[in-house]
Amino acid sequence: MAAIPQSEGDNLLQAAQLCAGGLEGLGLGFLNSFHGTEKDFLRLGAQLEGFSSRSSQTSALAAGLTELTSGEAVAEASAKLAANLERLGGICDVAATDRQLAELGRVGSMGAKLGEIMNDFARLVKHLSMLGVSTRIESARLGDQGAGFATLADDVEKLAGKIGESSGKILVSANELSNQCRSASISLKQMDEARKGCSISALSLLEADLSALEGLTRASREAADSVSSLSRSVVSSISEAVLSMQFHDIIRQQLEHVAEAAEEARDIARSGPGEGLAAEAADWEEVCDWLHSIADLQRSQLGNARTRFAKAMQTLEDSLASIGSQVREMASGAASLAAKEAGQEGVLAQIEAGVGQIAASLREYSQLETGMGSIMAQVAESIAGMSSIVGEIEEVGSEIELIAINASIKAAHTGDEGKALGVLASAIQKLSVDARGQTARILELLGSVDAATFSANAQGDQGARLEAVVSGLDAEVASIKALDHEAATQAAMVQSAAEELSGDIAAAVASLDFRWDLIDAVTAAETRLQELVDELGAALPPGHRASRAPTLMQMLQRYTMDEERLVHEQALGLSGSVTTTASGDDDGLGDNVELF
Amino acid sequence: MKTIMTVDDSASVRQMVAFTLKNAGYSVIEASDGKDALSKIGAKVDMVITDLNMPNMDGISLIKALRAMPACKFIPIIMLTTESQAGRKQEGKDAGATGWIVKPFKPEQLLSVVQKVLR
Repeated sequence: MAAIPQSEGDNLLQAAQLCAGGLEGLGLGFLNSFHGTEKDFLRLGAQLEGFSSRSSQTSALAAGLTELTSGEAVAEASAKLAANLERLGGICDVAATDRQLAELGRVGSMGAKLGEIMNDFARLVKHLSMLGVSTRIESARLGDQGAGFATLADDVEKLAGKIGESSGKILVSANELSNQCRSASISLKQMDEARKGCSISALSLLEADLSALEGLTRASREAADSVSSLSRSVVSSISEAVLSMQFHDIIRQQLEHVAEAAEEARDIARSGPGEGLAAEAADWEEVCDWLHSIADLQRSQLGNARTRFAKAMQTLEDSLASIGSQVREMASGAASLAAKEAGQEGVLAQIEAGVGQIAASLREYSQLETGMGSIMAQVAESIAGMSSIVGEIEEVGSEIELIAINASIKAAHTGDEGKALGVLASAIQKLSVDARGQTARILELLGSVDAATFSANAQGDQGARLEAVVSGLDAEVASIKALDHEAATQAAMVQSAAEELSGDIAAAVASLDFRWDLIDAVTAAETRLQELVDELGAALPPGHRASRAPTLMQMLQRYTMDEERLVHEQALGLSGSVTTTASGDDDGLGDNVELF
Repeated sequence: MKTIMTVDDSASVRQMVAFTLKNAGYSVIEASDGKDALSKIGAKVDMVITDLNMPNMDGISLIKALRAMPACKFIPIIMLTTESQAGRKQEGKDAGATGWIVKPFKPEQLLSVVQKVLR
């Protein structure tokens, strides 16, 4: 070290010595701290990569869920619901019931008319019986001549019995038919009420379901837009985070340059004027002036590095926190499409329950209709049975006619004695005509009813249609249930992934505390430099000679960043040496990019 | 799949470059300086993104060495550095650099450049 002239004062020497001591190991403090953060940055970088990948997966899951609840599956469910709505409309055709009721009314009134006809038959049977008795009396009166008439009387009485039996059967059948028709009418009306009730609730439920599906589709589209927008925000936040992470490398260079400058300053302070790096210094005043400006400059560089690092770390923290909150928001918005909200079932679950209810109602109605079909079958059977009995009566009518002809012939053979029997034969013949007339009326009545209609109703094509709709609704319930299950599973996956990711991001944000060690180390170095600046300033005489240390120019050459050069110029009151290096953004790549 | 080499003495910068490129579907080879890059370079590298100031061999020297290799004579080489001085850029351009990006970069910027020069 060069000798210290007494005239320059002990205080300058002392300040220089203090400065040399103060600068000793100055850079080591913050550089060690900086290097200590390297592993933290690498860990953060790896985490950021994982967060990016997982947030993309969560976005894809959320988008998949919105697609599921707005896409093809829901459109298909809507179409099926609409088709069933139409089919139910056909089944609920009230006119069909009215036709059935009219038919039943006609058959019922036919039963009543048959009763009347059967009363006429009863009179006919009575007359026939009387004629039989009269024939037997007349036969007895004629003695041997009327012996053949006794057989005639037997035949007449036997026929009267047959007619009585057949008409009795018809009467019973007619009564049964009337009762069946009344019962069928009542059942039909009840069934109609049930059908109307079922169809009204089915229609309203289906309309509500269709409206809910439309709402779901709309909400899904909105959620999809939101997921898409949030995904873009996540990408933007990751981009900010990637940019902020690079400040670790950027300030490294600035810190290394400060540490280097501090070592040079220390060497200047140690060597003194005319020696080493201070070879061009005339005296200790100039040395101290150089040290003062170098220390002040490095304090500014450290302040700049610390500020930029702290800002980058804050941006990184904000970006990570944003990713967490965006992912949570995305998951929450998408999951609400499938999950229960505020104690309410999700839309798909509501639809599933509604459609299930309709299917159950239709199934009950189908059972009613099966019962009705059985009644109709009985009606058809009764009508057919009566036709068969009428056939028997027709045969009896023919027999009466033959007996009447036989009686007329026998009476003619008997001569005058048989005149009375001729009268009886005429009466019997007249009764046969009456019987034929009554039989024709019955046949006409039975012919007015189409038994085939009842048979068809009994077979129940309506039942088949109902079964088809119920089966369709069952399939629909199954497909909506599967859709709901899939949506719920995806929603759970989205939420689980989002919760896990946001938890890991929160932990990563909390781990950013490592930054404070470096910020504190840099702040401590700034404080020490400020103290040296103050001490050197106090030691320098007022109006001291100011000169530019040659090492300052070397420092300027050493810088790689405009930011360092600007700090340098501002600290030393220089201007204009920093050239504008922005490339312009004509190519849309940004000011910091230039393609040659 | 295109292969890109990232050369930087900062592990965290290499990590961010690799993350950005891999995310976009590129294969990435990392090298810690120019010397390391030359030892790892092969015919399969389609592009190089290099820092300027590195120990052992700096970015300009690396570009010159690469341009002397027939396999790398025409591949895009982008400088990714904190250096922004026009003189240094000119030096890079003269050595054969395709472009210059001043740190810090945004992922979308880097990808736009890569897509543009690899087209």
